[in-house]
Amino acid sequence: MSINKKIEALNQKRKEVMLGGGEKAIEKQKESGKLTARERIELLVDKGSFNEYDLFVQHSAREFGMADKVLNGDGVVIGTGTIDGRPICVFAQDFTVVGGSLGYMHAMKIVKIQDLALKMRVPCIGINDSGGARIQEGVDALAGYGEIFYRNTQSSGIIPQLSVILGPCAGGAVYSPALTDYVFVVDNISKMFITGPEVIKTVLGEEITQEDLGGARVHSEITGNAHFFANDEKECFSQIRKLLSFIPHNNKDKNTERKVEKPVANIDINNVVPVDPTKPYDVRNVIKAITDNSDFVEVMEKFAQNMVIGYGRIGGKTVGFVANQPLYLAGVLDVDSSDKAARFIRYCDAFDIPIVTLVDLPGYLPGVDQEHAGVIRHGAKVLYAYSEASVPKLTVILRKAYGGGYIAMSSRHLKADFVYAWPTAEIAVMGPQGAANIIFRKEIAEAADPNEMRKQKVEEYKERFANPYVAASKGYVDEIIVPDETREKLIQALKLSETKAKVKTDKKHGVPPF
Amino acid sequence: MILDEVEYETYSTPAFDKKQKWSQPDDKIILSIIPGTIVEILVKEGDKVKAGDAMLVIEAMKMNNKINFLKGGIIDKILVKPGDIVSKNQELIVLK
Repeated sequence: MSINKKIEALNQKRKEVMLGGGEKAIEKQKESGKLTARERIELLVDKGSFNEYDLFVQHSAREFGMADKVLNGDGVVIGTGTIDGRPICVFAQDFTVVGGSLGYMHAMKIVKIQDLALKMRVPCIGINDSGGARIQEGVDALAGYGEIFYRNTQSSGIIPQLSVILGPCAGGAVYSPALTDYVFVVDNISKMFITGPEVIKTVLGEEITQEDLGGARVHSEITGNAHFFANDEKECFSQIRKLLSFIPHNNKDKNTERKVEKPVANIDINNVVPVDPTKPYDVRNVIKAITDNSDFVEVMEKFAQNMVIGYGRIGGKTVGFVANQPLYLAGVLDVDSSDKAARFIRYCDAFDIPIVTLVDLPGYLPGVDQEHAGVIRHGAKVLYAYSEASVPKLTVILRKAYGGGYIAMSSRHLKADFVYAWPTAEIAVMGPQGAANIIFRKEIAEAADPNEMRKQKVEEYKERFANPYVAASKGYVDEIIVPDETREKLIQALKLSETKAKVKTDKKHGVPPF
Repeated sequence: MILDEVEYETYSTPAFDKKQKWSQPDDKIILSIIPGTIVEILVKEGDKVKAGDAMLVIEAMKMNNKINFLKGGIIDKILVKPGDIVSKNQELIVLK
């Protein structure tokens, strides 16, 4: 055979295999509003940068008449590409090939790209669209999942791992995304659950749709399994590209600094926070008033909205923001918001991203459901995460910082490097009402007009303690600053923190209250 | 939202809206602790039972689970029969 013929044969083979499950299956995929695996990768990476590996891999199943079946690429596409010129590894399950079901060789392809990502210290992005384990392959399919989970765990804290759910992701398959750092979902397309509606109906008689059980909204708003919600696949891929432009691509990557840009949002930072501590405001306006270009990538925007987390740049450097959000549930710490913040703090610490904490909270949320849901151990996660984090920790107390909430939100006592307070700050053991009721219980009870006396005592307490000066007099707050000085103060503190000493210990690892 | 007697102006969240108010459970109504299928009922209405007595067998998570009474009493009503699929917290038996 001449070389030309051989080249022609190769091209022909490539073409055939790239059709995946065939034109009919592709048509079906499109009808359900989904793109194909390769189209998705094209949208994700820089144009023309994708290299596909293991194109000719075939499945290894021999039972149940599988030996004669041809499954192109064994239902998954793997390879490398670049995003804004920086290399990444990617795999995308191909639903057109036997429903993207996971067999042993399919899993080994994913494992290969995971190993490559870890070895080369580049982000690993997984696009999930699969019916689950390929039953015909039996225990080999389970082995495949196990190998993937193991690598997810080994890579954790070294390279960012992103999971994109673009179709069903059920049973054991859900645990790989759950082990990764960021889960992206798309409205009406993503479905995640351990057991689907059919099983739930047969076993339990409960009827629920796939969407209500584990759709994109459910995971973004209720369960907290998803970090980014998009209305369509295109928006989803631009979210991924944006996130990767902010975060380091491995735990030693210093290439996140960009040119310094001024905030562009037209926000009068001195007047964002109402002086009245009962009035709400959107803490994201404070963030936008201090970040470069007023850019902010919010993580888990719809889950536990009483806590805002995400990335922005200050003076060109990426920081992670953790901020109480008085706009929702008065910004309280509860089970969900504690969990949300704690994992984010650990992520920032693992990847050497300085943490900026904006504090305005009345404390922990009271209630039977909260106590019984374990707000003690969930709340403890925040304390643990902040105490453990050795990255630069910068705290700005905007307004209320009461009780346990004050301690938890990156206080001096958990070794924040710099603590600033605005003149609106109220740092006290508890809110004036509660404190006055306890301290002046006797005076109030014995007064001719207890209500009047209570009011008076609350005012007295407010006057004396609901301010930043008591904490500042003890050195718990380093500086009381005018809000419009915040950005400059943070820029200087970040500069100073660049050479922060890393403390080495000989412990293997701590035991956080997971 | 009221915290420590102070009323804060704030929005709610989807998870918060789905929350159900907690109330003291009635210990005369015995609820299923697990979703499953009733295999066998070991008591009948009018029986006098004491804590620890066997009540019924429920198949759940691929196991036949024998459920015992946590508290004694006289059985007023049995609300399920063998073959019934029950959900978690479904009422099974009412004591007098």
